[in-house]
Amino acid sequence: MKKSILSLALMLMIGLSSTFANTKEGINQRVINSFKKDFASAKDVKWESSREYVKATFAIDGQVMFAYYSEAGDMLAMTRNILSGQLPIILLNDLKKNYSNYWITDLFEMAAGNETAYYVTLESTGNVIVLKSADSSNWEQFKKEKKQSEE
Amino acid sequence: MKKIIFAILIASAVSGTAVANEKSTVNSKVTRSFQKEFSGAQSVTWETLDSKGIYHASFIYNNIPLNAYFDGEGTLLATGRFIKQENLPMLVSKGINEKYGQYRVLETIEFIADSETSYIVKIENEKLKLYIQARGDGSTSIIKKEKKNNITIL
Repeated sequence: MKKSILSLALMLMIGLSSTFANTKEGINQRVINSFKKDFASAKDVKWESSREYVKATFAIDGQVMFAYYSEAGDMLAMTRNILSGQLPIILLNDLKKNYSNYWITDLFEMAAGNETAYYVTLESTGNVIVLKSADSSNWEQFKKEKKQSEE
Repeated sequence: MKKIIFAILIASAVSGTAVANEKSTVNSKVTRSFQKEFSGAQSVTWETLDSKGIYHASFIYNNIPLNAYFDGEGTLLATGRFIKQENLPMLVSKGINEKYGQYRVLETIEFIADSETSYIVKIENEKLKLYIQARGDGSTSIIKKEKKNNITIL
């Protein structure tokens, strides 16, 4: 299970280009039933599907969220983009202390099973790094790349 | 110790019924520890929570209003801050909605003790006021329950 969540996170990180917009009618009924149970108050629901999962984009209390389901109707994960001020204070202070030369280009919260993880993409003039926190206390390096110089 | 801190937090921060002295004198062990933990903190104010010998600092750190609690030996017991309800982690919101969906959320506090983050959520319905501790996995427990007074405000 952890491996598939990791794969899902990786797909989310790189942005999955192989998803296709779908109407609700094209979505498996088991997925729709699970979604309705999980997010009874969801509004503005939009569906997309790929070979690996079905994705719902929706709003709850004005917040845009994403939920990912298997074809069997099991929720794989839910995510939302957040601002740095929404990070747990330990993580936010760590970023400010140790990554002050970087700027944040992407930040999201991901919940899978009963675990929450945060992923932040940071850029400096030369590097792009992705940090992950699975315990709300420490960041670990998830990915690091040197920026390619433009010619 | 965590229970004591919860109790103090509820008494002094959440409910607004402070049990503190004004502008307390803080011993050097505590101030040294504070400066080490929160170097660069601004607008620091201290109070002593008499009954338990605990020092409470309110301050701005990295532009964020924070509260920290120390014992007399300078040990950092806990850190906390008020947050908006929508800033609760998704699993925490889900856990509270599933169990206490009929209650109204009044206040939410992010609380760190022993390097562990949890959330104190104050909720109420017509009869009860509850203080819930919610953990990151969405599980919850009641830390304080109050019956509401039948006071009619004209």
